[in-house]
Amino acid sequence: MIRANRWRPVRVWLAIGAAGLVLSVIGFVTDPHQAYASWLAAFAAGVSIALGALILVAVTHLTGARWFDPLRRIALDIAGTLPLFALLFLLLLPGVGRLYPWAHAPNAVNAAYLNPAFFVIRAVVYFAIWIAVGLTLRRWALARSTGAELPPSQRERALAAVALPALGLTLTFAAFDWLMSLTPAWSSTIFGVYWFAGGFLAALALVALAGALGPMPLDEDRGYALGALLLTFVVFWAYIAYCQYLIIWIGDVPAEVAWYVPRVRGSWGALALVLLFGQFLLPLLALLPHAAKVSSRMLAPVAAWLLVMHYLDCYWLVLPALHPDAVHAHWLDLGALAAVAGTAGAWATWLHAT
Amino acid sequence: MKMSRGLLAEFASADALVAGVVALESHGYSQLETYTPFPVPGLERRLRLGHSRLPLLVFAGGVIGAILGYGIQWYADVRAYLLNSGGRPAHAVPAFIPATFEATILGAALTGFVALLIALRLPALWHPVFEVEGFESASVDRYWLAVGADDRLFDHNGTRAALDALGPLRVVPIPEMVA
Repeated sequence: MIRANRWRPVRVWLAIGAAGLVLSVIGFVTDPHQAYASWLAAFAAGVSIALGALILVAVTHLTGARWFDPLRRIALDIAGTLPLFALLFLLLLPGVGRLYPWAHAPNAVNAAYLNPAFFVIRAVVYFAIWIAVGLTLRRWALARSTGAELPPSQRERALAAVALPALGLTLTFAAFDWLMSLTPAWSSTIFGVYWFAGGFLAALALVALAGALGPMPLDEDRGYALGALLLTFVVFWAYIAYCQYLIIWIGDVPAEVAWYVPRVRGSWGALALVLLFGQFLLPLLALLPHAAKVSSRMLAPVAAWLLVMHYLDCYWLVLPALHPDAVHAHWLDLGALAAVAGTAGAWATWLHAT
Repeated sequence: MKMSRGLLAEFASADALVAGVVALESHGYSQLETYTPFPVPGLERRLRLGHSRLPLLVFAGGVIGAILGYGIQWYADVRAYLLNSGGRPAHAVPAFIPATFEATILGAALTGFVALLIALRLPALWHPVFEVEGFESASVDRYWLAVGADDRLFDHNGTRAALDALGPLRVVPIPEMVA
């Protein structure tokens, strides 16, 4: 009976993921442009959360955050989905030609960097580093006598120190490759930090949500630490988003504003405002009071809300490349989201149960 | 017997102090004050200080700072002195944000600083407890518990007995006035 209950969440997530996969595969055949763009948005949101969880583990290893010890297993299980994201990335590869204009511009100035072969080689390097670090940190944490709830060992801290710069660089280049190059003539050096800020915030939110809904509710100290970090990264995300926007807005050069023009007009502009309020002002006000940070019951809904916002943020990054005129909500958006969230949820809950 | 503002008990450890606070509160004392060399975990909750109004004041100060900061830029750039800067709109919202942010922080920080001074009745150069011989150990290695004479239950002999029962190093009266 207990065993059956343990696997139930895995089966539920798997059912969602399978339904999403079926829809997406139908989409890849019937409406590939839409299907691959929807897939990229969901994939970018999901993989950034897994990376954020991995960076969270590495950072707390190094700062010696003891409050994080009981939550580390959750973050390690989220980071443990990185091999799955490598598989999900494979499904994106047939769509490279449809998603990225540079795939058909072998003579463009940046073709030495942006070409399909090098794109794949770089992705292999990113995933190799992420998976190696994620799985090793997880195995070493579980190898400790009573599991992941003890402070990290010396070798774990050493690996975290070596890995963090590599994670920062690969995450930045992955953001350039997968998201920024949707508009190949446009560049923003802060773009990788923007994607990191959103992913790290969402990873914190997912850890807080899983912790709050888990068998042991968050105590006051743990809740406060998570709530304060969520508040910090809500502000950090807004700060990075604003920095990029201000510099480009005030420069007002055609080549630089090209990326923003479709994203701040019409219904895309409305979505940008949803993000401004939903991922900054509302959570900022919700997380300011001390009482909101120390209570699981207050943190859980804010965390769930922030996860939705992170998906919308990635949607806003990707989909205007396909529909520059306006938001065209499509059933394939939901299909891709279900496929990514379902398979990743199944993967993480399976890791958690074993 | 000399008039006093209350009684002061000196303890050797934080645990003894917390136990003393708990015991006196169970007797019904409410005008308790503690002096410790470092923040003792859980003591604030034991003292039942109630909710501080400071966070709300600081928040209000931040909001007022934001409105003033944004307002002065709007007044200067949109009403008082229209300046065409490369064809950008006079009401340049993104450009107004940094100064608005700074004004928010300034408003919140100044409010917090001033409100805290008022709430703590600072600056005060003298306090009756300073007259107690050896009280400076409160910032070194001793833990002091004061019962105010304004406490409903305060009775010089009875309160002294209650404090003595807690096992302090000593109990001394807080003098009313400097001679």
